[in-house]
Amino acid sequence: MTAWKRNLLAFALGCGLLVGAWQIVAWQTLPALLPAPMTVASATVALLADPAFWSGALAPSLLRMAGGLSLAIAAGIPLGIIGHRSCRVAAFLAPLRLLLMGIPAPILVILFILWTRGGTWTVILSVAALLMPVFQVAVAEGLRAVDPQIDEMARLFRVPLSKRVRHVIWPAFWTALGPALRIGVANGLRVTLLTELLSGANGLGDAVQTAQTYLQTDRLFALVLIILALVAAFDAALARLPGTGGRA
Amino acid sequence: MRLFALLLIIGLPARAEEIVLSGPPTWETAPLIALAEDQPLADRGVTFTFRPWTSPEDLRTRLMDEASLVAVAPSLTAALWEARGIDLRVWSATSAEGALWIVGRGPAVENPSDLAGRSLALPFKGNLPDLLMQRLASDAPDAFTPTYTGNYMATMQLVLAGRAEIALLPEPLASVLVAQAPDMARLADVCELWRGQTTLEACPPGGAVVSNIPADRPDLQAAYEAAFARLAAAPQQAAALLASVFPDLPDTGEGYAEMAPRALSLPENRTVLAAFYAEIFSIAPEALGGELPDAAFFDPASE
Repeated sequence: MTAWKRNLLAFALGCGLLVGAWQIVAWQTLPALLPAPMTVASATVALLADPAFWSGALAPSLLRMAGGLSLAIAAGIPLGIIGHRSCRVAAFLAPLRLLLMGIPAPILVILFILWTRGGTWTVILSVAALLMPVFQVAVAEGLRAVDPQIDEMARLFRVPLSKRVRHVIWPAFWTALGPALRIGVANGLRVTLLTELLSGANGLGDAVQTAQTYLQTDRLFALVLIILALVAAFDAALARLPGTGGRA
Repeated sequence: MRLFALLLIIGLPARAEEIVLSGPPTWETAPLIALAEDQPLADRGVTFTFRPWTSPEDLRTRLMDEASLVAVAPSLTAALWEARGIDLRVWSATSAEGALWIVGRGPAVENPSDLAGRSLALPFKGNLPDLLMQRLASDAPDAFTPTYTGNYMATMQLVLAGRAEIALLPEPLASVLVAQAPDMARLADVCELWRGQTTLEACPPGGAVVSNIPADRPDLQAAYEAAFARLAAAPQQAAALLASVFPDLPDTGEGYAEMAPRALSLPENRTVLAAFYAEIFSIAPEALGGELPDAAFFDPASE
């Protein structure tokens, strides 16, 4: 048996143990408080087979998350580059960065709801504001990691800019940006859910809120499974990109 | 032997019993606080202790953990929990004219069609305020644009900030909002809109008094009803009682003064509560757990 198969077996055993313990506790508990694994499995299948779930919950949340993430990257990368090139600009931008990094996510979300009425833009702005500093810092750190001697040599030998970016700057840059992207996607989904949960905007967060309000615990667990699967899928996809620390 | 004889003469001492009372910062909770203050059954060994609940989940946990609990709960939540297999008894429901208002800027709201095109801030998506408005607007689903919030204070702030034209608020917050902003007014009593739209005579019985005590307790119910009746005769007195437990609640006895609270004891008033549930069930069956409460919910003796 290969090491990969042995790991897979260990993973399956771990899952089996967890599900077995869950089933035993579920036998002693009200289904409204802890539904059995099979009930949750049925609820998951029912959700995934429901076109309204895809169009009314999953798609809006993922699109908003993508919008917020794109905005965070679009703002964070230039700010990181500018900050790297000028200490004075970095100092000028530091208060905003510290504010966005330090403010608790629920408070920022509540403020955005107040300022933008709640809805799609509230989610996009919340995700963007909370993730922008991650990309700003990652870009600045990535550029700092570029080896100045190799970069200088490339300049001396008049290596074309495209090749210099590809072979000298990008590898160092990506070692910081890649992991930031992985963290950003997972956190982006979390912030999206939080904002939808607080603002009542339709989406996965609203579905979670509704399941909790109506004590549809099987549906709540099913939603958690779907969200975990989404995070795992995004993480696995990003881990395949070179320079993102695939095994982490 | 002498002690035994003495006990026979003066009567056996009553068994000490602690009843935990609980409720949110709403008018309906005030009679429970009054019970804890007055201890009307102390001579029978019954002690009332008030501890507020902070969320429906908190209340559910207490219902399952406390030995003897009597609490004010949202009436929809009581039916939902019953449907989900959580043991409880519903003693009564509560309704009140002048308890829930549409407040804000613009012309008065005489019927749901007057809400057309207006932005309405309301808290707790999927809960009673939202479902009441959904039912009121069920003949014209696009009657208003809702903006949901996580609590009543945030709802108030949205209107004050001009992000919503009108808001759904209970007393005393409706009074606080009107007092804070001169351009705000009470535009409609939700009870009046409800009567007009549903043809039901009673205001929406949004609150319920629930208990986890399995046996009939006419003594406790009578004590609660007496406290309720005393406060209903002068509703503004609830403000001081609530302030003693919820110091952050705006102190506006004036807001309560125009309220006309009614205790709807069960099973006598089961038709009122059942009709209310039927209205909500018609638009959101999942709010009641997908089924209307059975006869035993209103009257455990009918089992």
